[in-house]
Amino acid sequence: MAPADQLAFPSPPAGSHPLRLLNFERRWLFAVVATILPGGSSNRLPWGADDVPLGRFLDDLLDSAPLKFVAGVRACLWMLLLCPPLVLGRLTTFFGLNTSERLKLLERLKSNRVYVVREMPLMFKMVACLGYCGLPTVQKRIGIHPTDTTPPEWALPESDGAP
Amino acid sequence: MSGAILELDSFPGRGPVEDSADVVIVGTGAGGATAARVLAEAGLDLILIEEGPPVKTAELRSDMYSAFKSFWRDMGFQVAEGRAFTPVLQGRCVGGTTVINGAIMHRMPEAIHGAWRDEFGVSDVLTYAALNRVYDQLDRELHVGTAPEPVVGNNNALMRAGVERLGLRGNLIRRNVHDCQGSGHCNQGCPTARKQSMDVSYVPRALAAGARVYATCRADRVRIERGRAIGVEARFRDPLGRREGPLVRVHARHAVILAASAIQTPLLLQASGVGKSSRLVGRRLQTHPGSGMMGVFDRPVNVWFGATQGYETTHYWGERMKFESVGMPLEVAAARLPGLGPAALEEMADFDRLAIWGVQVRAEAHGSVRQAPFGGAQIKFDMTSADLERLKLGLFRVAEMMFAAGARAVMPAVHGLPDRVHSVDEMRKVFDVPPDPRHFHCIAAHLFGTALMGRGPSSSVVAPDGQVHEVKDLYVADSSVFPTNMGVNPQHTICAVAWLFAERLADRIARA
Repeated sequence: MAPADQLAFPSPPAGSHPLRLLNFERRWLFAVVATILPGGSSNRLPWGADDVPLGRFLDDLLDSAPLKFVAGVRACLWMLLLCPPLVLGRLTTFFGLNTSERLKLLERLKSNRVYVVREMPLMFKMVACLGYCGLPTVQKRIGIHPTDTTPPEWALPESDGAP
Repeated sequence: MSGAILELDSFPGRGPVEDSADVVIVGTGAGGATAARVLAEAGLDLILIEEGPPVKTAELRSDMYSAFKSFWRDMGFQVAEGRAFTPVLQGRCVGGTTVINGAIMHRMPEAIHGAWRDEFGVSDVLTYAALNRVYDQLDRELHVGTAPEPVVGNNNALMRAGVERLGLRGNLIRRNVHDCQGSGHCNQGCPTARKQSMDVSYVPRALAAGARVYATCRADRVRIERGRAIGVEARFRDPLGRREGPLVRVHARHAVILAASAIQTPLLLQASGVGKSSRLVGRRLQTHPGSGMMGVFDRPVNVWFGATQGYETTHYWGERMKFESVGMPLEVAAARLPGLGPAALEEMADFDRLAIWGVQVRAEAHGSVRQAPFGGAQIKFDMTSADLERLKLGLFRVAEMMFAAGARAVMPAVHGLPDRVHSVDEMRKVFDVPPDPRHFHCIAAHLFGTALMGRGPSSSVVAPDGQVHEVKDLYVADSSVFPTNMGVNPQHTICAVAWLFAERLADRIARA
């Protein structure tokens, strides 16, 4: 694990305007992103979504992105939530699955024959990577020397010193 | 006399802002800024209206999300709808797309000019000799040249090796970059301001000659009276749409020039009631759909160092395809890697071994642009079967080049193919993939034809001197007027066409 001053502070999404996802939807999105980028699973890149302030990134993204995109994220979240009976034959929701089953579900969706279904995991991964891979700490670990090592605005430690 | 950049916060009051100039230009990208450079240095008083914010090099962050949020239209999420969603990449800032593109400067192929001349009658102003005269001047002023060898970078060097081993014709790309440092950050805004994007080249020249730039100010319509353009109505808006400022009414004494891109210009024309006789405004959208492929190498490639797009081959240009290296940032490339979960992190950790090259197709398909019901642009575009067959062949050829350069595997990102392909023979399976855009991942970066230039008002929107047929003193100076796509990157030609239109307009005003 990197020192806190390098990674800023992990935090769950705080929520904002309901049109731009309700708080529980934001927490779902965070959970999906954490499935795609699980912490402690790679020695070479040990941090996952839970270890970096990706919740704050999601808040920033959802508050700034065009409404059409946010509506797409919402639709994908609900489809993902409700699809396990159809894809895995299990009468549960995405959140009723354990981590490896969630991953299996996302893998199945990725190779689905229906275009919008297989684009769904790609969209979640795009969101996850847009935040996670922009962190100077992550880039340095990969060998990239960013031209500017200031973390993105959303990853800066909060001024009140929390948590 | 020196001009100024005015923004939302420059006008704390709510009352309308009134201003006037000889010429009002909407857009500060390749077309608008070049027209401004010519007109301002001809002694004309100018106002430029730009929807996006100014770029401050010292404040640029190196991550892609910050760039998306600040300088890309719709934060990079703009898409064309069809059977598949195709991202449509555009800048939205002072300097327009030139701030976030790969800085590629390509002259129009003579065959394309021939078609424009013979089929669309555009040779009055845009003779090939005139274009070449302006290309030469642009080359000098924008420092167009190839990347110095120390900053070519492995991604470009490997493509050169692959192309040469296959005996193809290829070259280092000519770019408008002065003393490139190889930061590999062209898409985030050049951190060293070496890229001669319009925000550091022609906009400052226009400002130095007294032009005023209204930034974070979106043009809503052209003001037309008795068949003549007399100005533009705009409004200051925070780039993320959270805050509105005052209305802006600018009066144009001689002309209004629209150079807001092949997406925004037709929307402005439609909102202003222009284009009824030809019914072509917003139609005939053409693009160069492109798709990237990653190759896995045994030795470090370090795609993040070197010219972002430094090598190309036009060997197959006659077959409507062109190939380029594409130094994609990690944030974008990682999303394209096939793994999820622990595999995703392992693949990211190997990012230093990946090369990224792509193919762009000179597509035959025509799309359209119109105002979406809740604001913004509704873009429709679908590749034809022939375009998709070319894309398949193009992807196959990228794989051939990668294996020739020593790749261990390639990642084609095509539905129906394995995540990793290990040989040219295995890649032949791409020819069995149905010609359906939903099997591929494409982007559209070059846009053309939505305010077509041609001879008469029934078959085109704009005359060969850039003036709109239906409205006196209203000009279009961006790639909207291009009668067809070109098969090469359009930045150089957008600048050249805008230059020639502006020269003629300055002449006309001087004579008047």
